[in-house]
Amino acid sequence: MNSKEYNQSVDLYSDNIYRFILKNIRDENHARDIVQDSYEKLWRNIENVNSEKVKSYLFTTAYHTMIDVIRKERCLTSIKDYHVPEETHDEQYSDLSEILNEAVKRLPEIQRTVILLRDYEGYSYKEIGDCTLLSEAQVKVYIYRARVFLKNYIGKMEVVV
Amino acid sequence: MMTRDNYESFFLDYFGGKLEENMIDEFLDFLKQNSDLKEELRLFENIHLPEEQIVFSGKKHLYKSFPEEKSAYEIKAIALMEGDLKDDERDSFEVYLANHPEMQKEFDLFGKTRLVADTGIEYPDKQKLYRKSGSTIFMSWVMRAAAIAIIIWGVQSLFQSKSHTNLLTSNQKIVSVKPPFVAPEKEIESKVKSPLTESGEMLASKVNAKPKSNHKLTIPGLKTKPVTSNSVPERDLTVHEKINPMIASLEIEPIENELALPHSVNIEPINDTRHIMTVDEFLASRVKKAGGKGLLSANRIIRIGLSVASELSGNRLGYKVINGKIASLDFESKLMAFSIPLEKK
Repeated sequence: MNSKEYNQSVDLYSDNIYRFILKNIRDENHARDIVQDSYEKLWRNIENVNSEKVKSYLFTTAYHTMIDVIRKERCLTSIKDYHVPEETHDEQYSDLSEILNEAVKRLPEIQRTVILLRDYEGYSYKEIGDCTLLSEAQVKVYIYRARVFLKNYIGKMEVVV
Repeated sequence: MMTRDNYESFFLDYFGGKLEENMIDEFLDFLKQNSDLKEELRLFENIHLPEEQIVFSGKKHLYKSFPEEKSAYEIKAIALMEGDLKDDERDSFEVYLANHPEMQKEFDLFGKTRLVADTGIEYPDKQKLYRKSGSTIFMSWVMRAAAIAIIIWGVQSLFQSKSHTNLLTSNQKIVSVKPPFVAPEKEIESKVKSPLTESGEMLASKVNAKPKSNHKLTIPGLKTKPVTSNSVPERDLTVHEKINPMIASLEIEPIENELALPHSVNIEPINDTRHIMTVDEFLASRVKKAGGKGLLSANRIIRIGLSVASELSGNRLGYKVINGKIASLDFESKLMAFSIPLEKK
């Protein structure tokens, strides 16, 4: 790909990658850094990346960079400071999207990743598998578990409301 | 045998219709013989419990759905959401949903789990990501060939110009070392006054010029001693006359013939300042030579560039034009010669 196609990829995908990362790690600064890092890697490998595969390349790079960031953060976070997600729901929810957002936050990391790639980007099981280095069967299982978790969470919250 | 000790069971069988036929006569004879028990049998006859319609209201809480069934249902529901079901599977699942309204609500909940991206979230530093092309220069293969030819010519002319410069420098040295007739100082003075030959004039001018350059340098704080004639031994200049024949042999050789200059380059006009053009004048003359047709066409610009390169390379680099288009590029030197066809066959 050339520089023109590179700049087009900035227009087309930078927002999507930013959203995807932000939803996963909920840290704007880290999300920005990861997006910038992904495009930096793309620019360095511009000769080797096909313009048709650029979206997949960017998401894969961003995902793996995010995993690295999460691992580093975990190492830095002491057990005392580690925040365990609470199971009680004290928040007041106004609509379904807020409930769903809260449910997504509570999903296990890998389930959150695959379901975001599935729903936000419309990726196939294979594309998600390529991105996350999982088999298609594993991707299906994670999507299934995530849907069941979200369904149960919404169901409970509707009863509470 | 029916007695007063076991008559109750026979009475129950009688009311229940289960008394055997061969016992009926014995049963009736027993009642005749025991009239008090006949009255008790009549009381038994009136005792009858009415049937009550009592329904257990918490029955549905007792129902258990097997995990396998629920799991299978959820798998089907999610597969339907994800579009993974085949047509017949989808139809059968929809029929199942229609028959199980309690499952429809669950299915609706699954439908709500689909996430929608918040397009309001945008990457804020997009400007930092844009890149300007500069590292990659795209050239057509014609331009590449021309560039290669120019580079080859440039490298070759670099070596040539070095050797050319060396030759010219040595030439200048030879001219300046032209052997003068060296005479003792006393003779020089007398020669200045007398009519001189051409070589004598040169020598006189050089000898006269010598004292001019011999300025007295006064440095503050530095004591100087006057140079006496005794401190410098007198040079025996007559020795130079003995080496004159050796120097004279250099003079004989024609210098211009030794210079390995390109055959087309005429030294005289180049050295003559009247013939030297500025770069602008040179380029303008070549543009004029190329004609005015298609003023800024790519073909014309390439032709001007090639003609300039050709002239600068001493006609080593050339090109052929067929039907107004450049048909081939030619390069010829002592080391190699090649031709690059530009017309597609």
